Amino acid sequence: MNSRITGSILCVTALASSALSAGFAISEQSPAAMGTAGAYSAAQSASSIYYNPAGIAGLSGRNFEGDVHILMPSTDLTGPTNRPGYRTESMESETFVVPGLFYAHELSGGHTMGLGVFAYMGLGVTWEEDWVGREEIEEIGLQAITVNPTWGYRLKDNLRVGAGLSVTHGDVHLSRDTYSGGAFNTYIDADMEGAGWAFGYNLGLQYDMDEKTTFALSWRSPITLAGEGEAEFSWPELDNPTQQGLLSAQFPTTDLNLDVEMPGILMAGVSHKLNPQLVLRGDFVLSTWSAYEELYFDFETETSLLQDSRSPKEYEDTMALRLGGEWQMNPATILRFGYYYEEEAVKDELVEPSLPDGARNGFSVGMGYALKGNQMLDVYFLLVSLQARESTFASFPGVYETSIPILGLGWSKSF
Amino acid sequence: MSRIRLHHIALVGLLFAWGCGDEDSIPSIPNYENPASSAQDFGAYAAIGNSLTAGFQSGAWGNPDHIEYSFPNQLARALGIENFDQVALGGTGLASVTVDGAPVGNQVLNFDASGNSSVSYSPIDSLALFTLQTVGADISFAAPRNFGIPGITLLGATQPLTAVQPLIPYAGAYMNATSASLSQIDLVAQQANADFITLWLGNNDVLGFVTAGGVPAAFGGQDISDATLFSGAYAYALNAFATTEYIVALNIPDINSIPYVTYPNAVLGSLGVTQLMGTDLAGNTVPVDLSQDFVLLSALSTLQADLLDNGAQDTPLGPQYVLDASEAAAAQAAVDEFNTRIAATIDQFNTGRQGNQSPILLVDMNSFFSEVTQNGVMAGGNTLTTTYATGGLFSLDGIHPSSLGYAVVANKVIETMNEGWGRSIEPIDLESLFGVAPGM
Repeated sequence: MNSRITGSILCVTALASSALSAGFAISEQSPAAMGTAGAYSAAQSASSIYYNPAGIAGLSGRNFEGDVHILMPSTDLTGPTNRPGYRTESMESETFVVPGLFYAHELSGGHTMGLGVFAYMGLGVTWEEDWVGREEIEEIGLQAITVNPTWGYRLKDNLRVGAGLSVTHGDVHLSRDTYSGGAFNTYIDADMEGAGWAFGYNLGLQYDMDEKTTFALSWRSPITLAGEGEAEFSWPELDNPTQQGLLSAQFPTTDLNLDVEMPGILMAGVSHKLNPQLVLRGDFVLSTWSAYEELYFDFETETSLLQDSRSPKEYEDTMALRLGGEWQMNPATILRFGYYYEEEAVKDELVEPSLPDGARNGFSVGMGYALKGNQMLDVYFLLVSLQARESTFASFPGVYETSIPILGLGWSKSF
Repeated sequence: MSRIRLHHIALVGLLFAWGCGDEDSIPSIPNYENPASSAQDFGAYAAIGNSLTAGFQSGAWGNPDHIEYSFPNQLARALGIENFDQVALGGTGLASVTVDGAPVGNQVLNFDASGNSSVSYSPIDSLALFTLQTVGADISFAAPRNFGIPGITLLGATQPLTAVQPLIPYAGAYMNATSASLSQIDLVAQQANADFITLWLGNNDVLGFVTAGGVPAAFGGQDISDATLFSGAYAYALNAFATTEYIVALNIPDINSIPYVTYPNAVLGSLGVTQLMGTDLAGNTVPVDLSQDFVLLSALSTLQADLLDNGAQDTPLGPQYVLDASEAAAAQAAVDEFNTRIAATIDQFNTGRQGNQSPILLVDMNSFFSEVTQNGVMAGGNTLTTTYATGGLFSLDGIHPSSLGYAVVANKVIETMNEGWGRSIEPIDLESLFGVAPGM
């Protein structure tokens, strides 16, 4: 098993074949939230910086939260069904570690300032080198870290608002092979990578209807990661030195530009305190994936054989429902449980092995345990199961089966 | 110097073009659930035929890498037959590619610094690209062996090698004190002790006429063989192999399945050329109508210097460079006639086969090549085609398959054997031949 652990929290974010969310979004941002399957827009904690910036307006004093999420995706593909002798292939096993840091600081006059550093977009897919789908994808990775300074304000006793700016740095890499055609009769291995910045904002509000019920609404803007990088090409050395030289001229290392569209995320939620021990929460989440039309690497140098790389994506907006509950078992212990469902972002005819997306169900359990000195430890386990997905992708149809167990641990402190 | 530009077949767009192509129309190799676990027991294997059996490729029977990928050798490997002997040769073949401005002898496909491709094909003496390393005196006929003789006709295969060799020097590769007085057919029948034979003869009985531009033997070309003699010779062969347990016979592809015939018209058409000047056998200038007459691949270098560099054609093409409509029709009729007679002769012999003799299988290469010309063949996720130089299936002479093309031939033979004899021989993985250069 190939284990990819990213150690340094700040330079970080190894990403996962996206788990809780469709496409390549990562919604695992707080163990307390994930215990209730991510239904958290109506909650209040430092990690509200991600879910709903209004959620920090209700906090008193200083609040810090440090999280780590461990994702272990596995995908089996039976296909490509348009070729003889197809069988079931397994994606390389990888373990992804997604960190998050959140800090909220109450100021005077109902104002709260916060800062979040987290990864909410990412993707990591590796198939065996030279596998049957080598011309679709061998390896793809998107790693992005977002810094999100946030302001929260208590407008009235029962109405909180919040807003933030987000700065995201992302790094994309992609490897795949291409057949040269009969004149050279060889595979060309293309490695492309690029990095760049994206800027956006987030807004939110929370309204307490009464002491038991809170409504929430938040919006995280879509962002476009505009980056630069390099593409390199390699192939087994050809016997004929003239052919070898010609391919070298046709496939020079080249600079490239790339754009990756990340969706806006709308959350509408409610929380209701059923009794002093039990809180129920629910979120409706809309992700505007339709903005992501293609993955486009624009090569600075093009030749007769080397053309820009365009991969059609044509994602569709997704809706998700998240439901969960928190039970204060005793003064020190909280138990959590949750369920969610989300639609797929990728159309049947465009599902391919770089992102075997599908509609998904998730079941979570979690626990919070209060320690001395206003400290809290939160853990959760979430099992995400994607419905078997039959792809009709023209050049590579097949059936994908994916499951993603996720473990998370968080430490938070108020002072 | 300008060259005949091949932008329309350039590889542009092959790279990073996702999901294009109509997969449904592409014939695929059957999916065998239970691949052969060990050698298929067909006993000793002998292959008899012409250049297509010998492993001729890119204008020569000389490159050891090419001989390695002859269809009988690939078939032998798929069947688990070890130590399949082939004549050891040295030499090259046509050069595949070179960079513009630095031509090498007999190069075919050029790319300039921008990657634009062009063709420069000169008629060559294939013997010049051929070196016989193992002379006939040392040859062992008893081992499983490839008996292919490039250039030989079916009628020639009934003649003693001593009579064939002056016309076809390649026959010398199989001549020693024992074999010289035997015909190719009798040599196989009497010396090979074969339990399994692949028989692919008859192509040159019409192809020699085609590649000579329809010039008859009296004018230095080659005639189409007489159909009655053809039937007699085919029966002679099957009679000679009457006790052989397993026989697979391959028939003759259409002449419009080979790029040597079809490719130049396509190039000229893309340049807007619809008519050229030619000469008949008497030396009279005659029009060449590209809607019905075929300019042969061998004319391209002449046309490049004359038509393209001058801007207009000054010198009419000689008759050896053009297969006119009536000659093409005669050749096509001969292919159909010969194939009918091959099928009838096999049927006739199959009624007499008994005991442990499996029925003779006929591999319909004619319809298979037509289908492949139409739709290509899939290898991995790619479609290999018969397009000259870039399609992957034909070698640079435009007549003979490439290593990949010979694998496709072997797979068609395997498919026929599996269906006809109820076997489960695993086909050759075409993708495993990626990296095998089509030229020298």
